[in-house]
Amino acid sequence: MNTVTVQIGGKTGYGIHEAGVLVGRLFAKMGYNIYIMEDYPSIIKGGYEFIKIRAAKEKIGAHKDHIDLLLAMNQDAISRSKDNISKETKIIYNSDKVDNEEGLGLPLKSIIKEESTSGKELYIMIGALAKTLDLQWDLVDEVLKKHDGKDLENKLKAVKRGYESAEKGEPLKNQEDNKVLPVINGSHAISIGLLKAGLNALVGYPMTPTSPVLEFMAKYEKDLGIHVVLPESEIAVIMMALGYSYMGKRSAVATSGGGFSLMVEAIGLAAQAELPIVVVMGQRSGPSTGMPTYTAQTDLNFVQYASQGEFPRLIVAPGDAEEGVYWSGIALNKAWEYQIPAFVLTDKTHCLGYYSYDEKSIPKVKVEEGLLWDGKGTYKRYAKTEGGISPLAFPPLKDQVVKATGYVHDEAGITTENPDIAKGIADKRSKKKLKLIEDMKSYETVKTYGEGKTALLCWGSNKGVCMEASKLLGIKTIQVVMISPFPKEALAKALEGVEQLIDVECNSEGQLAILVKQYGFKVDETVLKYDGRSISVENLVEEVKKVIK
Amino acid sequence: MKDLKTYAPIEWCPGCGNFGILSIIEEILLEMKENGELIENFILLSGVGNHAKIVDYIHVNSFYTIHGRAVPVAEAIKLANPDTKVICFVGDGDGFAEGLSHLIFAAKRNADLTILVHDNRTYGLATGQFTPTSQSSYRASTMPEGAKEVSFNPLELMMASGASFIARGYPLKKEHFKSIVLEAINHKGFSVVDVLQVCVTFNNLYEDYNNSVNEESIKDIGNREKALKLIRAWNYSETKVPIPTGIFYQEERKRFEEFYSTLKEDGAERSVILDDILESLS
Repeated sequence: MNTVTVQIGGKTGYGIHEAGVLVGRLFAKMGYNIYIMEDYPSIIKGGYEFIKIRAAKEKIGAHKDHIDLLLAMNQDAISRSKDNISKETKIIYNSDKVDNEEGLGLPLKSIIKEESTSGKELYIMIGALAKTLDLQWDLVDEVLKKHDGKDLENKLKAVKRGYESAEKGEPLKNQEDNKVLPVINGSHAISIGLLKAGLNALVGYPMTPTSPVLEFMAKYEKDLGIHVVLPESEIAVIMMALGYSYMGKRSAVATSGGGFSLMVEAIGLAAQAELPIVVVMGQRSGPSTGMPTYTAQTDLNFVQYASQGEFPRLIVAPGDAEEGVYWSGIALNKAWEYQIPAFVLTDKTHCLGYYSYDEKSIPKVKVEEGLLWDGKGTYKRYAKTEGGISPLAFPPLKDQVVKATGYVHDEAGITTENPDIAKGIADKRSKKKLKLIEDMKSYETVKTYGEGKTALLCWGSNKGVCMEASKLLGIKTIQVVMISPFPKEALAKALEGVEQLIDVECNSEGQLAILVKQYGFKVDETVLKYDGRSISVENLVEEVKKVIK
Repeated sequence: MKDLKTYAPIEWCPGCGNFGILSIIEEILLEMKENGELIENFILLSGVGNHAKIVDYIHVNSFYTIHGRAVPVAEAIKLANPDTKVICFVGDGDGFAEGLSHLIFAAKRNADLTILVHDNRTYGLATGQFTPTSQSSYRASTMPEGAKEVSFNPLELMMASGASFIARGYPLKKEHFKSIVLEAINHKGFSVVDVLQVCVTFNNLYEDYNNSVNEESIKDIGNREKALKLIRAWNYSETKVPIPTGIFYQEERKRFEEFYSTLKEDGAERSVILDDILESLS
């Protein structure tokens, strides 16, 4: 076997996530490319959740419905996966909780009692998995030691017992030609990208699906010499971030739609005061509380238009780990270069999905300074310049004053309601926008994969599933990475020779399709999924087949 | 520089209580400068309202934010550079209504800020509506028949939130007010001064204040019971009762910025750490 999909299902809150990631790391060590998808309810303990780990020789960024190996901790894990189980599916189940005719039943309760390894049920299952896929014991031992070393002895005991209880099946081959890559989720990727671009402060209020950004930053706060601040509300979050920006410290916030709703007023302040800020905006099912732990791509419009007034903003939508790192770095650098709000528009699928990350496949992300004041004469925060960008300087500055403001202001930052100045600073923002549009032409803001007269159009986390489905169907995928400013020319180029364009999105209105049409492009069909679940490869192939000419 | 004035035309009504605050702040900043303080270390913040215009009139670093939100910006500025001296001008609508949560949490954290509340007990710039501290007899455009709710005592709230310096001042008692503001700025930690700033156009309380403001000087400054007694002596609803002013409470406590380390700017060191992190995830 050169590919496998493993699913682990059971009660929420008892280690399914950790077990799934561990299995992913086992496969990664064998040279596999990994994609992990998680489905869990907004319940701390109880309820049903599952995690799907997919390993493949080639790069992947999507899940498959069909399960090759199922680890079932309870009856739900089988009965709720019926559609994805075939007679080829191997099932290892907890025979204390599950009645099943086929597969390997392990009485976890009595094994735990015999081995006195309380709480290690899932490790027994992982052991059985390892044997079924004929994994080397040394590998299991090594991965556990490295990634899950707490209470190692008992864990190893449990794994060993599971290993001994199962029989060898068709072996999962080592992929010796592949590099062993780190496995990280979209939130980690975004965090790493921001840090590479010189982030100083991450301000946040916990909210699915971007809390892992906060947790990642908090874990390494001391080592990295950054600040992680968790104030009383998302309003305080963004205001604090702007305080850091005013002081010349690179800041970002991480949130989801509900939290971002509270931040909206301050986005306008950032624009008027020309303060750089990055918002990591992880979409999830809405409106309102919606389904907190389920995915959506429903805020494309919201993020494009949030806050009153007119101003330029950068919106990028990364679709995997590499793009998470690369485009988050660009977002932070461009926010500082243009002194504008920049958005990393992501979603639950990307934020909480795990990917193999190949750093060598992307350009190096580093700090790119904005335009700094030359220190000559009297500093004016909003000095007029040809391109509309005023040089930056930060307090404290001897004999100089730095005045920022949300009011219409003159060059020194003093309030005015003079009509000429008001028009002047609106024109200043337009100039910055034009400059940004030109600048972004040198980046791959629209990406294409494969060839064909039919193309799938996608953004964000649907990149992986579209790439894979289009490959199977022998068609092309067009991914719009930058949403704003809209990459009209790049899209036109990508569409050359395309006769049928099929838009694929996780929303009910086809928000990207509408946007694309506004720029004069034709969208022929839409494949929309809006039940909170990400699209599987099989599902997309089937849906596209229905509409393909 | 002899003064700290800017070229911005002052847009307050003649007789506005804000003038008293502006002139005291200017005096204090100039004196501090003469005494060797680095004026560039001062950062002034304001929200939105008549109070907020003050930052335009002082030639010192400033950030004129949005309604109710000066305080979190100030907290971050102090974290970004603990050498700064951060003064927030907020209004009563601004600070006690729209942005109240920020005051409570900045007090809780003991962020080293000076908060001067321009408490004129009306929405001046919005032309005379009811605020959290309007007196019960106030006939606001939004409550023409009088209040439908009672005022709260913001200083009692600040005490409950953990403010480490609590005071009330009346700018017309100039020397007393100046000493309060000076102490507030020098206090290491969160200091809040409720300033009885009069809106001459929409809530002219000069006569009441001139008759009822008492200058208190408290000896046992860290005593919570005594402080609360003074704070509770006036509930903001009534007007013709004695109003204590002065520094009611002060304590030394670990400050917010002391929990944070200095930001590191070494890119090379960071690259190594990030590589290590990635290695640990493979």
